[in-house]
Amino acid sequence: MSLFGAVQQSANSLRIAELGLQVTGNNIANANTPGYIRQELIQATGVGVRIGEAIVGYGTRVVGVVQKLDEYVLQRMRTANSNLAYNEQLESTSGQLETSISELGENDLSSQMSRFSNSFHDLANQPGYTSLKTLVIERGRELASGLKSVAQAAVDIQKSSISDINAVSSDINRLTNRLAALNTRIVEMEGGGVVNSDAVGLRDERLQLLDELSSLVDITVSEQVSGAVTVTVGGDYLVADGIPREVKTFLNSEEGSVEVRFADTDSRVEVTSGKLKGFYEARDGVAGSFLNDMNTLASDIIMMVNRVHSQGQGSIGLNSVLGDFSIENEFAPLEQSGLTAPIDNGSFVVTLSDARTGLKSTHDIFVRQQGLGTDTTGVDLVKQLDDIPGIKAILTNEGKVQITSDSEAIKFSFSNDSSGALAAMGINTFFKGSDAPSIEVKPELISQPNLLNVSLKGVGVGADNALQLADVFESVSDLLGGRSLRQNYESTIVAVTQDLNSQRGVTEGIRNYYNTLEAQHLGTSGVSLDEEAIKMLQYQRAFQATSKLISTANEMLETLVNML
Amino acid sequence: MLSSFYPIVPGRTSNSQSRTRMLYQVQVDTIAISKLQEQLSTGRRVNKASDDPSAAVRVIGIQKSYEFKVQASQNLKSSATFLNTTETTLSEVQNLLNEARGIAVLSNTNTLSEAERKGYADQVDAILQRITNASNTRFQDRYMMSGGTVDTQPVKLEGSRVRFFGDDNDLLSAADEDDLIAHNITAQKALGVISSGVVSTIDLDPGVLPSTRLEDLNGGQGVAGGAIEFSSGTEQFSIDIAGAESLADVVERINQVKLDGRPLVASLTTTGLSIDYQDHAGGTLRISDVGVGSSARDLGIATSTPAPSIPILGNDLDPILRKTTKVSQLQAGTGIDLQGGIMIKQGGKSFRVELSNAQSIEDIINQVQRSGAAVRADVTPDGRSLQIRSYESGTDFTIEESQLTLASRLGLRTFSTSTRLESLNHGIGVQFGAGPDLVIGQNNGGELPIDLDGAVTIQDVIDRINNNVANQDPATRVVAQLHPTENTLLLSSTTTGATQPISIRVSGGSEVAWNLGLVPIGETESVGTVSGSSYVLKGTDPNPHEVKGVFNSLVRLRDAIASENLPGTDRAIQLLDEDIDHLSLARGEVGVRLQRIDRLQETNQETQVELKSQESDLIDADLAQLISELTARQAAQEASLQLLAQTSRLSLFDFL
Repeated sequence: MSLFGAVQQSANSLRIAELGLQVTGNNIANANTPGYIRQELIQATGVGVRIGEAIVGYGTRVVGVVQKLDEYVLQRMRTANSNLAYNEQLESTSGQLETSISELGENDLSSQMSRFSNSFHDLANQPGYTSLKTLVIERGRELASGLKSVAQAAVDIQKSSISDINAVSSDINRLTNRLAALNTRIVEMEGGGVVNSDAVGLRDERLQLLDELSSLVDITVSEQVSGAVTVTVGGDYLVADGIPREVKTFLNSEEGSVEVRFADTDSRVEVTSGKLKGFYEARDGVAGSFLNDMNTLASDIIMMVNRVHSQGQGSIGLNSVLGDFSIENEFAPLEQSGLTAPIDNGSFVVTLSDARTGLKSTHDIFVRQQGLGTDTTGVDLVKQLDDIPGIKAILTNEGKVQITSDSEAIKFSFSNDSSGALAAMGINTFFKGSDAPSIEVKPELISQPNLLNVSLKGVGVGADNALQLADVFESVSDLLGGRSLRQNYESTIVAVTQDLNSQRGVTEGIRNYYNTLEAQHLGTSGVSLDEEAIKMLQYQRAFQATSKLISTANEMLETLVNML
Repeated sequence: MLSSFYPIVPGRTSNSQSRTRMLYQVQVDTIAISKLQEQLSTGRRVNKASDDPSAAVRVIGIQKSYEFKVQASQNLKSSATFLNTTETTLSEVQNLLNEARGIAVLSNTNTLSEAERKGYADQVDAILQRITNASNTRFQDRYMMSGGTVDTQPVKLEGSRVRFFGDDNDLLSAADEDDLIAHNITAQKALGVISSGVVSTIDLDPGVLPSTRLEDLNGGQGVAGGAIEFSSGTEQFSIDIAGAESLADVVERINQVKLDGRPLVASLTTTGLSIDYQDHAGGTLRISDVGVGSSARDLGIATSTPAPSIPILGNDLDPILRKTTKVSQLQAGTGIDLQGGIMIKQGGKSFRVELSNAQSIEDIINQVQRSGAAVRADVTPDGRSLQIRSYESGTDFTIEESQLTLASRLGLRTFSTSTRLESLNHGIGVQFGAGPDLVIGQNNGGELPIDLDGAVTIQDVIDRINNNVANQDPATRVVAQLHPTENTLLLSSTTTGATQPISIRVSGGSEVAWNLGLVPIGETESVGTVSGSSYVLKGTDPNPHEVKGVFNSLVRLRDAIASENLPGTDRAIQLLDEDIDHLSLARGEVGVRLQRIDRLQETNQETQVELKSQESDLIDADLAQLISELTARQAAQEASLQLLAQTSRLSLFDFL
């Protein structure tokens, strides 16, 4: 030993300095590589050798190259990432809906309601003006199409969720396949090494994939002794060692919605956050409830406008009408017959007028809905109508009530409907349809604006009903829970905007949390060039010192040799 | 809103960390600046509702109110236009009426030549023509004075008379929330084109049917919806009649009640409800309202203590008349015999109305309308009687019997024993004189002076004649009575042993014989004729009805001038004065409304400004604040960019 030993020892040191420089070089080279995890050369003291009484150190040795990583921070970061992706998705959906309402603007639904009302005011100002009736009908159509397009925004979100979820499903498969492959290669490469981070480049890639996967679904990652990671979602394996578990999308044709399921067991992939959950929630929660609200609003508008309109008379009488809604069970009391709008115990009046004689005849039609076994059924009602001399009433095959007068000269009109039956059957009404996508102004009104029921005191007399119709959005009704259409609409808007506003707050909070974790992660795992420069200097100096040692040992050897 | 930040974590740092942080900072600054720019360019602090939901909700409310105020202002403008146009028309009419009155005064003398009279009459006719045209003014596609029927020409000159075809409905417009303003004046209000109704003097008193609506009961007061409690003394049972539409509904609900296992049974009498136990075995039954409700009282079935006898017979429910009310329902369910028809006389023509086939009030109304007379029948606004109104100006109209006594039974005859003398002759009444008012010539040549001073009704006149002490000898007795079918007084006396026909002579200064239609105006005596074994003396109808209004007055004036009827001219002048007053009132109303519109318009404009300013406070950007914020943000961004550039240049490598 001794001098040769020292030279030998120095050779190790030189090798380590070279290796260290290489690791530093790698770090410097990857300083800007996204997802790169800083590496460090781990060296340890060489095992001591007993020389006589003393145990002498045997220099240094390489233990391995490790990635500087805080697994704990990383796991939390993934969770936060899932959460962030979920909330960002909700925020974006709510934002889209808000844009579709475009409230505060001049073309929002509330302005359309005002314009519809105002057109009735104009008509009350000039009842004889036919072009104002056409304007009312146009305003009605505008409101209908406004409701449609707002609802369509929600429907579009629901529809696009199909392709979005399909994309998530194939992304999951791509990522799990790649993860499984990486697992295998890492295990092969590291062969169960001591530091478990030998396969550095592969591990970087795997971390990035896991990061990406965590934005899609909320995963839990655990690393095995072998170096492979196990990925689970909702308690189910997604990747185990080298085996990925395939997922697929399942189309629920009834609801028209898709969900992601495991291909092998056909069970749903249970997610609580991540983009996938965001899509589910956007579809069912945000867009779904918005669509429900809009449908309720539309059906309330249809009901209230029709109730008022059906009480009135146009500037010409009717020769024939066909109800819009079907009585499905003509032998059941009307309110249980399949008509959706509420029908109360009450009555309405049919007035016939004969142009040949100028005479009128008035007929009371009673709609009994007392729930005491004598309630008026569809058949009863049609019979009461049919019994009126001068008109014929039938129930069509579709269950709709059709009333026709016996002669061109006989015109009929309706008034004083305290039962709501006319509106429920869609007779003498303004809107047809039952929800936001189907609401529209009745075609017969569009072709015949004089059928617009502006009068209350008889065909062509005054415009009292126009004023009632102008007030329809503001008037409070028991049918709307003691509220008005306008109040209900405003509540919906408040709900959407307040949700969006608080959603933004929540998302912002999560983003800040994620940023904190990311800063911590980058602090630990990112490359610091200054640090690498210092290390470079260290290795350089170590190399220089060791070289000097060799040269000294060499000189000492030379001295010895020269003595010979 | 929460601000975004990228935290600085203690411990180690790395190039990628500081790079990410700086990038983030730059991004946040840029976004903040774009937001400020958006606010600056739109001038709004809140661009989407979610930017500030609570402000947005208030703004939605404000915008709604604003949109309504703009419309209300529009309504007011439109109403003002219509009312101004109406006012122009009315002032024209008033000028014409003043002119007519001038002519009337000029022509009110018997010194005019035929040609002069004709000239004046023609001038009045021309005025009539012009007022007719003015009443038919159309403005913006609508007849201004035809009430609710804006497409119908309201007034038509037909021969010498004027007929009205519109109605008396107001056209309303929203002046403000829950504030309606009428933007028309009907011809009836301004000019008078419909007569006051001949209202049935008898109570038609309809009974009840199962289909009678609750809202029609108690003279139209209806029935409060609430709970009614039935008690047998040991058990109570409540039903709620809220939502019940007709009496049938109430009966059905009462039939659900069971007390001590004994079901109740309700039925309808002709006038109300009757309630008993189904087993008719007697017992106790009390009916009362629950709490402050009044349903049982309204239905006439509330019982008082001590317990009443059962069955409980409810009070008369007194429903109002409806078009659908059945004739058989009338007079407490006994019905009215409609045989015989009624006779409407209008402008010298007779129109017989046959009602024997009428089943309902509406049938009666229809039959009256079909008669060809310019009259309309309807139910009075209080729902208690029928009324018939004339729509023809310039003619008299009366209702009398056709064959039997139907007009009297319906209470529609315009001349009856209860007719008050003061209402005769278009409301001029009768002019009593001092001493006897008329002298009846008996069949034996005897004279029967009759003093009618103090007589109030036609019956009084009849009584004064029939009960006169000198008129009790059956051989010479003159019997006065109402003509069975025609609207006149009828005097009769036997021809047996008579020497001459009976007669009536005007007495002293009294005009009563003329006023009662017994002697033609201007003549002194009328003589009876022989009919069978009696002498009869029939007068004329002293109680004609007419439309009170401009057209009537003008037609009357024209005809009076043409026929040199000075009393007629006098009356026409009076009528014209009334018309001018009436018209002035209508114009006054237009003025008041226009003034009100001005005031409302002012408030409306102020409210609009106030609403706009509230809206602006809530969503508009404060420019000064925005610009200073923007400057601060820009400075911050500049600083962080500079820092970014500088710090990224720093490296240990520079010093190696």
